[in-house]
Amino acid sequence: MGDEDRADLLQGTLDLLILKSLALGPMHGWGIAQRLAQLSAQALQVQQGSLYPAVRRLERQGLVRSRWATSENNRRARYYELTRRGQAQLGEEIDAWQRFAAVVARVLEAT
Amino acid sequence: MRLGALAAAFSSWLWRWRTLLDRSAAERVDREEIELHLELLAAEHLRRGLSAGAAREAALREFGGVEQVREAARDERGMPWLEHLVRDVRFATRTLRRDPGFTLPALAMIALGIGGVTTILPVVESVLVRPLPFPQPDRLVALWASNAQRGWSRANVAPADFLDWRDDLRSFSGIAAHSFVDGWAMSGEGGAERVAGVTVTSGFFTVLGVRPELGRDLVRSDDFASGEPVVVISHELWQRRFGGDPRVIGRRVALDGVDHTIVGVVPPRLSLPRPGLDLYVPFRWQPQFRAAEWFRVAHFLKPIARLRPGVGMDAARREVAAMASRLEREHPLTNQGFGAGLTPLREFLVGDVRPRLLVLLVAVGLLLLVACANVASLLFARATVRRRELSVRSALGGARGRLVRQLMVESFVLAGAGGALGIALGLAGSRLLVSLAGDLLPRQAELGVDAPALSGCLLVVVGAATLFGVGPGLRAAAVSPAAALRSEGRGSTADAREVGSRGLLMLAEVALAVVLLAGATLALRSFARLVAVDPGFRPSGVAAADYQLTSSRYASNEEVEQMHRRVLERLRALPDVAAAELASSLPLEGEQWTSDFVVEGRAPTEVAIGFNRRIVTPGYFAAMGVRRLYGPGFTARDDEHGAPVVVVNAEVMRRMFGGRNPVGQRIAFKPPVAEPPYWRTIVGVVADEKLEGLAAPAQMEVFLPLGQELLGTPGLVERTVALVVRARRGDGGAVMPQVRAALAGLDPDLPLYDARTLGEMLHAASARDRLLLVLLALFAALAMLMATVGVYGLVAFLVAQRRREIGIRLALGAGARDVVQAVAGRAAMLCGAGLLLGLLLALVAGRALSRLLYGVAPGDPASLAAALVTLGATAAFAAWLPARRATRVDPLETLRE
Repeated sequence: MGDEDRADLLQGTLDLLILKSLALGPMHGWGIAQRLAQLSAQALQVQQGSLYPAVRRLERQGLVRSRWATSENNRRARYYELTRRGQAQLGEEIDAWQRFAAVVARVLEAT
Repeated sequence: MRLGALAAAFSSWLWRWRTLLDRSAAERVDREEIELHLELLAAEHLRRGLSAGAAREAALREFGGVEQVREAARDERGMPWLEHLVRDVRFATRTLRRDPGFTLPALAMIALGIGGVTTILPVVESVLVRPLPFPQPDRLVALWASNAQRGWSRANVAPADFLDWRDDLRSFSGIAAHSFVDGWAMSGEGGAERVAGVTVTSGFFTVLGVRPELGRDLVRSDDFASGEPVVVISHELWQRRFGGDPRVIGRRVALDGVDHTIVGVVPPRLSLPRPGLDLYVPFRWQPQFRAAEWFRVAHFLKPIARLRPGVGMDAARREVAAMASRLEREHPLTNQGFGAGLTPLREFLVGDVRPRLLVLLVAVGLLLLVACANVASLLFARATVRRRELSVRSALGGARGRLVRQLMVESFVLAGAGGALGIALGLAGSRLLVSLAGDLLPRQAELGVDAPALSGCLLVVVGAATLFGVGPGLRAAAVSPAAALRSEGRGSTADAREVGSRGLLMLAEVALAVVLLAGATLALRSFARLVAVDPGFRPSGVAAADYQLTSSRYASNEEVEQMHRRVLERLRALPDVAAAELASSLPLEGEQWTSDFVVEGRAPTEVAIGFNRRIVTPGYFAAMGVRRLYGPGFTARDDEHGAPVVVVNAEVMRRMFGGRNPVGQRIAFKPPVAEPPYWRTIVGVVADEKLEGLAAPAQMEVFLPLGQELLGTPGLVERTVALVVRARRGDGGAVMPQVRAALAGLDPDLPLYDARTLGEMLHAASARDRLLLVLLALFAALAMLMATVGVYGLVAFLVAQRRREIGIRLALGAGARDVVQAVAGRAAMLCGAGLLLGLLLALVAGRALSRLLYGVAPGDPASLAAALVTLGATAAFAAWLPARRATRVDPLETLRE
């Protein structure tokens, strides 16, 4: 697997994680990072800045939409939420990932 | 690709477009978001006890490079490649503007190079490439007759042959023909005017595929006189004279005094056989002509035909040739030795202009190459100068690809600006060329720039940009930063490489310039030889004009002859007129009637074929300044009542009489089969006049005195004649108004047209060669200028580069000459090599010119030597100037540097 492929894989995985975290409800960028850390019990430490290009990409692909709103501490923040297509995509990706994981597990178990 | 995926990709692309237009807002959003994120991150650290500053730093570290994140976010938005391109273009424009010493010369050279191509390319495209403006134009052919014995090829066809072709040939869906372009006096409501037109057979427009705007084409019954004469008119005449009357069909108009009914109007801008024709008149042959011998002997038709669908050109050609053989067998007396063939119509129309246009195209192509070489050289020099800047940027992390792209963008911006300038220049030049030379070019009405020509020019621009941009661009980006930062212009390997490239470019430029210069010199010598040709007459002080005695006013032969004499009498009475004569046609003007004759006392099979027959008044030769060689010539008593006499020209004497004086012998025009020959006595021999062109070989001519064309056969009177007037003083043209007035006094309805001086006629005869010469000389001069600039640039660069070395040499006592030699020696060698290469190329290329040259061989040593010497001297001067500056170098200064 070349560097590019690995980067793509990481990119794709990050996108999936963001979608998942937004499935729990709309959130701004900082909030998504917190949620990810939370959900993975601190195991996943994503470089925080890389969220933003990722979320822009999701916006472009029509899986996520954004709007201005007020945050918890009365600051103007940009909130992202899943679109219907995003939800459908999330479901598909989860299925695909689980299938992939199962195949890999099976291969690894065979000796 | 699945439809869903396709749709997703499309909407993603759409989103990029939307965000492209709203960049600044998106930037603000990014900045705000990131700032908020950082604040929240810092707040976390603050809670853990760090100071405000430390918290911020920690937040930044955790976040990652802010600029990189913003850049990555930007890549997901808009169209990054487009934005980068725009930025590169802006940067390139700024850099170019800051360096006018480079940019202005480069722009000028590109503009000239591309301008040259853009001037010629549309003309070449209109004439040689564009299909004729008719439906399925590649199915149209021109049919012609040939006769090896007479030296005829692609010659006119006799009407009897044409009619047989029309009846029996199967390969064509239609055959029609036209004859010479002529003029008719149109009178009636709307006034009197002389209108140009052509006689055509039926179906002329149908064959071309042109549907009349109103009315109909001419039909078979119109070919043979029956009933009321009809005519088809042009769109322009319909608008001009009939005001676009929708009921013009059926209206009458008088042509040469005879009423014709208008039966059709053709669409605008019909350009066959020639643009600007207003009348298409049917032949109206008498039915008994079909059996007449002259009908098969007089070759004056130019047939065109359309191939039947499914019939190939070769099959049709074979059928036409077989047809000619058949007619040869059926009519041995008239068709002996006649073959026939066909040529695609476009080729037939433009054939003889193709070599000239191609030469011009090659010339501008060479000029463009020279310009590109020069610009590439400049770019090399510039890339070297910017080497430090580029290596710094490379060291700071600029990707190699990015740098190359930037340099390429710069080349393209340069090419774009220069190209736009060049195209504008070229379009103006093209229009100028067409207005000056339009008459010399076929398909005149179609000349102009259209989409294919313009795209061709744009392609040339792109090609040029690539040509001169790639080399320097790659070279500059291939520099390794360390080496570049270390060198101080003291002759590193990169410098050596630059000298090498620039030296090669200069060599190429010099070689190409030699080729162009050689071509121009050959054209010059050829033209000089051409205009030095003795036309056979003396043009000074003589003018000519034509008039026509219509059969309605001057019905009988006697009336015609009488009127001719009255005209001459009246004109000779004018004080400013030294001589006034008539001739049925003049030298150097258009197609001639040829006939055959026999000599008394020789075997009847020994026929002189293909001689020119003209009718002149006795004083014609004196008025035109044609030299009399033998015999008394015509006198005033030689008319239709006198003994039949002729005057022949020197070519007749050479070919038919072995160069011996033939005065006193008798000849007769070849009679129809059953008739005895009508003998005429030769009373004089005159020098040859040039008939077809200055470069054409001599032709046999027999002259009859006015009136004697009625004697014997065919006995046709000359109604259209050329008036030749010699002024007593000064220019012949000045006398024309008086002539016109005198003629109007005799008959107000008798217009004089096509007034011209013989000087103008001669000038027109060499017009094509003159134009070619002027253009070639222009391009050669430009190429020489550019090559000179290239030489100068290279030597100047060498001087600048080796200043230290020069200083040392001077300090050590070297003489000025030695220094110059050291510096310019390399350049001189390259120049010499370029001249040699150019000479070889010129010898090869000259072969292509050989068809266009007159009296000069393509390998003419004098011309080639002149070209080499001219360019060599100019280049030497261009090299000497900067080299001389080298001797002024102050050794102390350079050593101190």
